[in-house]
Amino acid sequence: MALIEFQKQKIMRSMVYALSPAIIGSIYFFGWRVLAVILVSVITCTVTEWLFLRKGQAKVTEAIVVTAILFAMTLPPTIPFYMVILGAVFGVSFSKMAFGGFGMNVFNPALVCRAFLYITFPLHMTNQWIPAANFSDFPGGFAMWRFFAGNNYLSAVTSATPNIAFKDGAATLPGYLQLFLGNINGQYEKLGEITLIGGGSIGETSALLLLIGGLYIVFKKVANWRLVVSFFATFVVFMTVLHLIIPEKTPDALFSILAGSAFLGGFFMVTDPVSSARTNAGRWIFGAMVAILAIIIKSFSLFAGGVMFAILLGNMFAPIIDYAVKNYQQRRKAA
Amino acid sequence: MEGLSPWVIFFASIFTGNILLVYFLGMCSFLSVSKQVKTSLGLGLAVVFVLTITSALNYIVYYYILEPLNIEYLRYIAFIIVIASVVQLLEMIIERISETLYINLGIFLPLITVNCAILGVSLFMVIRKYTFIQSVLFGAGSGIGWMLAILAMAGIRARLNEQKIPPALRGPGIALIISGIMAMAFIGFSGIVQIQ
Repeated sequence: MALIEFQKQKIMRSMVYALSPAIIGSIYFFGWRVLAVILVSVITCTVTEWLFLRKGQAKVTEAIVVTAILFAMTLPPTIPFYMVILGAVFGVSFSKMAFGGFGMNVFNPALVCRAFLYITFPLHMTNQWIPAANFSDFPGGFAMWRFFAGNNYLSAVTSATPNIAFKDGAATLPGYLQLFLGNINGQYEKLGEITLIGGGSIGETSALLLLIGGLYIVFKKVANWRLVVSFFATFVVFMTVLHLIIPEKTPDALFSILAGSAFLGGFFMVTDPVSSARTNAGRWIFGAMVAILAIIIKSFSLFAGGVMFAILLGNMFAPIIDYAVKNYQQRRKAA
Repeated sequence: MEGLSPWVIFFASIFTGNILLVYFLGMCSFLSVSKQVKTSLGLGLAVVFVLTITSALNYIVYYYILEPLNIEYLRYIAFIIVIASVVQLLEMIIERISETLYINLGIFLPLITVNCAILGVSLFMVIRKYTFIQSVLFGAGSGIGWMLAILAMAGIRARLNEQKIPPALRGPGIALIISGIMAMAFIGFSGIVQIQ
């Protein structure tokens, strides 16, 4: 068996650099097991792609590493390894290799992996949260395989993400600064049990670390700024409007953008150059559409992972948006 | 289903209860006509038209003819007759308006008659006990949902590079995989509103 060779892709290198602050952060928040999850995902995805290559064909693309990291970052920190493998094999083979490999996929492979797991193991994907290490817990997860919040939390049985805490109507929610830095803590009572507020999925705990990486790829022109601006602007505007109409059911824009996967999705997944819209006007529409769908799903549907489903839905309509934009421009030129 | 606002049903039938991607009705024409955006738009509009008209007509047929006579068990035949005649009418209209669209749609235009989405909507309307207005908006919404799905599919298929796809998956194979992933994405909407 020959060693797996990688085809060098500069853009994908930048993506990995951009994601590294958030990865290091996640180790601090949840322990070294998180790194193992990411490694398992990277290995499985790479091997899956490699198995599909025919003789004499191009090497494995580095894009698969980015896909694998992004997939791992959307998972809860308690995810069993076999689920990671299952999701990765399914997603990479059906949403990437079946379409002909790198650059040909219509849907974002990382999100297909995750959506598949969401539907197959809904309980594990939405119910198994753990509290994250706080700044006062230093060295936190750096010294542990699996971060354990300590004896003073022993009385608590369940744990939730900030978004779930809001849906449950928790009396005290983490503050904006806490959410921004990733210093998330707090507890509330639900059905007579104490529920701890945790950090959510592996990659989404600290908005700051994602913001650093996100700005880096926008600055390096790896991510198209139109998609980012369009996504976040629409998100804030639509969320504010919704909050003014039904304040008891929807949090304000700042809370909802800092808690949850808006930063992870908005910077790293909406901007996927392959599966998003490819015309400039199309990009504005695409970003705005994903933001609106994300808020609708996040606020009203069964699943908490609104941004992820919204991006998949966006991917689905991206080609037809491009088609309509091109058609319109041609007609204007002709007229 | 007295309590639900017809508009809620309208939007729910487009998104949460998409007739194609949630109930998997009307797959055959979805898979075979989605190769070109223009033709799919034409067929999509035809389905919206037929669905809206037939759900209204079938409501009248069911509640004013079949039910008073106690012959509800004939509803399958009655519904299909109504659908077939509406499609016949539509065929004549399209032939007049656009010859190219008529040729492009080919056999699939008369086949709308046996498109299970159309009969499915009429039957759902009876099972879920919708009122008249609810039925019409449910029909229109289902049609628009079907059209959205086939348009997205046509756009995706236009972007695909058939040469790169593994030979065994070209054509219907990849189309089925795409519709599977599309259906997976639509699961995200589940739980927003229940309409059944």
